[in-house]
Amino acid sequence: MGNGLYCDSLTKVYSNSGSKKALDAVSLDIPSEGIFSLIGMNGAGKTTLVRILATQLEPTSGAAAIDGLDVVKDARKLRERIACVPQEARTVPWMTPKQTVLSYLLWRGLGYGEASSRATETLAKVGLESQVNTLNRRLSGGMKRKVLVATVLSSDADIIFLDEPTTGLDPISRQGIWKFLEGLAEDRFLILTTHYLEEAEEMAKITGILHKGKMIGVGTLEKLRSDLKYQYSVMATSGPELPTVRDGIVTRARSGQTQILTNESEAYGISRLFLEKGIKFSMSKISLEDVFFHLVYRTDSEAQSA
Amino acid sequence: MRSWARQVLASILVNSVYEMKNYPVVLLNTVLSPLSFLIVITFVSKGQLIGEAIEGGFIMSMFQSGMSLQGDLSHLKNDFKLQDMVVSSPTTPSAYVTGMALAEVIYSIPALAVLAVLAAVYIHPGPFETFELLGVFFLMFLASVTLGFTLSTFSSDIVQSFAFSRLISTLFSTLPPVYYPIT
Repeated sequence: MGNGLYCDSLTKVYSNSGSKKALDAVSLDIPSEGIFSLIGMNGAGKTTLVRILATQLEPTSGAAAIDGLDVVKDARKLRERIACVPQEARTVPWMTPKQTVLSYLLWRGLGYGEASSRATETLAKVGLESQVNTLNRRLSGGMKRKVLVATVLSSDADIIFLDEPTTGLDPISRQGIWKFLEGLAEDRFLILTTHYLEEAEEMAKITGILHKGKMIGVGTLEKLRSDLKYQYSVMATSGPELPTVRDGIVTRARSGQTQILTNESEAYGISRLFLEKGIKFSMSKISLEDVFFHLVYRTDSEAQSA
Repeated sequence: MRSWARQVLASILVNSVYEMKNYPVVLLNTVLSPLSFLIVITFVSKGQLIGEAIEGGFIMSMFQSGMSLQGDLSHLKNDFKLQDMVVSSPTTPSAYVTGMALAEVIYSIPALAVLAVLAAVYIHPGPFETFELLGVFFLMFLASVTLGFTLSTFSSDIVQSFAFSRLISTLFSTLPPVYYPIT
């Protein structure tokens, strides 16, 4: 257990859920830098894991530490370094963005003068300089999210938790927040949960896939791909006469197209055939979404057969 | 210690000062309940029980201050997830709760100020009586804050929380012993 984010058989059972495990022996060991995204279906355990790592909740068993600081035993020390925007966090409507950031900095122990100037600076950084004294309730959804992100950004915390920071935002606002987070991750460690897989794929250095409380995959996209049998995807418009796929899986993609998951040489072979027949198609390495669906399907199948 | 005081200040700002500053109309709300009882009792007793009515008003204000903590803590915890943000920061639990509780007293300052003026005019308490009254108010506040804080830890729904807060507030601040000299 050195630098980095470390979990060893982390398990959480809520007292009101019988024996159902919200987290089931989650183990991981990753560097504490850049963006670590946690993906998974609703109820997969993402928020529980974030809450334990952010020292809001104690695990039932197992251990977790960030940069050598145990989330239970060293919680006080760790809290000096972390900041968190919880899932469904909202700005307080009767406060302004400046008051929101300023009070948070006072909570972190900064003096009033420093907190005030830092609040103004940080809000300007996120593009809210003209809204610093507008009531939060008058801001748009995207602006409110920016206020929350600015709140944690304004602190000296170098480990930041963001639980679904872009949920419910329109695509433009979402893009703005993600761009902003990308910059933020240059010198801080960001742990975030999201349902937007394409964004996690684009930004996260490392991704963890949680399913029914278990960590079913963790690593860079390349590493996650390499754990699967097929790393290539060929998409064709539905209805073409498909070539025989010797080694691969043929599925129907959400777009309605036919998707063939296969290995590299087979993917090139199929592509050549499609070209000869004049069938429109695209070929690429499998996406995070493909990895996600594949791992979830595989885990469920294994559980059923067991 | 300095850091602790700043954390207390943050809680006070969030839970009372900013709300009073940005929505001054809420100040009226804090004055209404104690003064409405005071007026009714004064009218009904044709002014004879104004002293008891003022003391009852004080006690009602102090008790309501403490009980409001229940609703406010639940609101900030459940609806804004503010408490989770604060937990994941260097803020100590004692600073957070002390600040939140003091914020409730600050919120009641308008009512307390009006009642203090009325007390000076109609009751003329001596130094010992003043000390005695302050002691009672403080203990009343402490009891209601403890009750409010305890209930807030169980509450996960804001509608239920505010309903409880009002119910208990009304029970304790209008039934005996608050106005027992009248009965």
